[in-house]
Amino acid sequence: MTHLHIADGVLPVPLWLAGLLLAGGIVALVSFRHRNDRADRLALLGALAAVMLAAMAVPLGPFGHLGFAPVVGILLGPGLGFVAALLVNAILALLGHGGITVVGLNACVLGAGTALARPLYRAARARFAPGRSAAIAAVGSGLASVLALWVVLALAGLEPAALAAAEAGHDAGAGHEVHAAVASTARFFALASPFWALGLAGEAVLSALAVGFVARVQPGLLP
Amino acid sequence: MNSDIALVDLWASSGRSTWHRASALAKMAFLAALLFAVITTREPVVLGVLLALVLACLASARVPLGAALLLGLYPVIFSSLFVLSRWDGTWQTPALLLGRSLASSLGAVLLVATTPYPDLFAPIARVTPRLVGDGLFLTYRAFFGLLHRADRMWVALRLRGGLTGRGLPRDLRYAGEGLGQLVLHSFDRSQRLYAVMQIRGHSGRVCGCRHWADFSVADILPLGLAVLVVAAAVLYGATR
Repeated sequence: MTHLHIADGVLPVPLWLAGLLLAGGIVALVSFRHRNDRADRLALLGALAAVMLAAMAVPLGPFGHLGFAPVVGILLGPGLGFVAALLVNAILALLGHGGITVVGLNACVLGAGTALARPLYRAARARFAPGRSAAIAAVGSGLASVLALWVVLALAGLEPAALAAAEAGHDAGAGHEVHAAVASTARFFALASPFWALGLAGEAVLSALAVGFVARVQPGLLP
Repeated sequence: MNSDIALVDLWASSGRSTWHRASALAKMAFLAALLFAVITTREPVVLGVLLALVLACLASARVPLGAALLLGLYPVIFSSLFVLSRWDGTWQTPALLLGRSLASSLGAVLLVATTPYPDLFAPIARVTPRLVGDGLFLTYRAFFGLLHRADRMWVALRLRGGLTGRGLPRDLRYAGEGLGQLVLHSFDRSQRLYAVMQIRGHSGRVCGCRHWADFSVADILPLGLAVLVVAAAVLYGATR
């Protein structure tokens, strides 16, 4: 719910190319770090990415659905959690549920939340029970995704040439363009925030309940 | 969305059209060409032509148009908030942004609805790290195992009065615990899958080699259309 399926052709080419490069770089780094892992980690990655896909069938309000990224992030950790976010976005893009060219950006947006979930959960566990810690991790992870999306959309509205001209103070029109881009990004967030707030609350409650259940039945699976 | 994936998988494996007989690589080339044209064009009319072309391709592949359109409209709904925020008072800007979303997502639907998933993921696995290439196979495979389990669980929850729609806190509790149950099931399943991989002599890479590069006469259709779309996009761009 806290991520958005950005479609093809909506964002400028340099931006989605940068997203693909960034996501590719992160995946290469994670692959190198996990190069000696047993195949059961790979099987687990596939299984939990599939849980994420299945959980996305749970609707949260009129414009969104459950993401389950925080729970998957808590269980897999930052690196594999990011890869799970990429796999889910790649499969969704192939099904027409998001852009193919923007798989990298979508993965970075969703992956930002997934990667933060475990560190936040661990920090919260020092004081709270697993369920409440998962809720805190879900809120933090959701906010990270929203922030990442805000950065993407803010960059999308800014043409590099106009930005450079505005910074150099050469072109009054360019300065106006920058203001317009900031205004349209703010307008987007005003329109989307009620849906995000609803989704964030739903995500936090369901993550808390799911993790609480796992903690009662198989506590060894949690970090 | 779960039923969408199952439906697309059924179309891909049961179809017998020219699109189904064409190789995955040729269809990927067509999708790349379509994306190029969709992204580079700034004319709503050109987008309309591209949209009509993809719909004609879907119809010739005997993919149910209504269901395919519903799949394609999904990202359009998400894009609509973005388009609203960027509206400059003209009809061209929203038409362009929404048309791009719809044409590209229908192009992706055409690819997955006519290509079985091992053929679709095999070429991707060749150029991506093991975590991504094999991860795609395993995620897609695991998803179908989970799909059946999840459907049975939601039905059982409803039948036993777990999800009545009358008490939100109680419904949320059961839904959350149901999701927890799915997580535990997926852990067990991944362990079983690992055991099966070991028994079958898994050597560090899931093999997805099938017919993805078996070129045939059927490839003329997607490759010919790809050349046509790129040539038209370049020529139209040059004359503007």
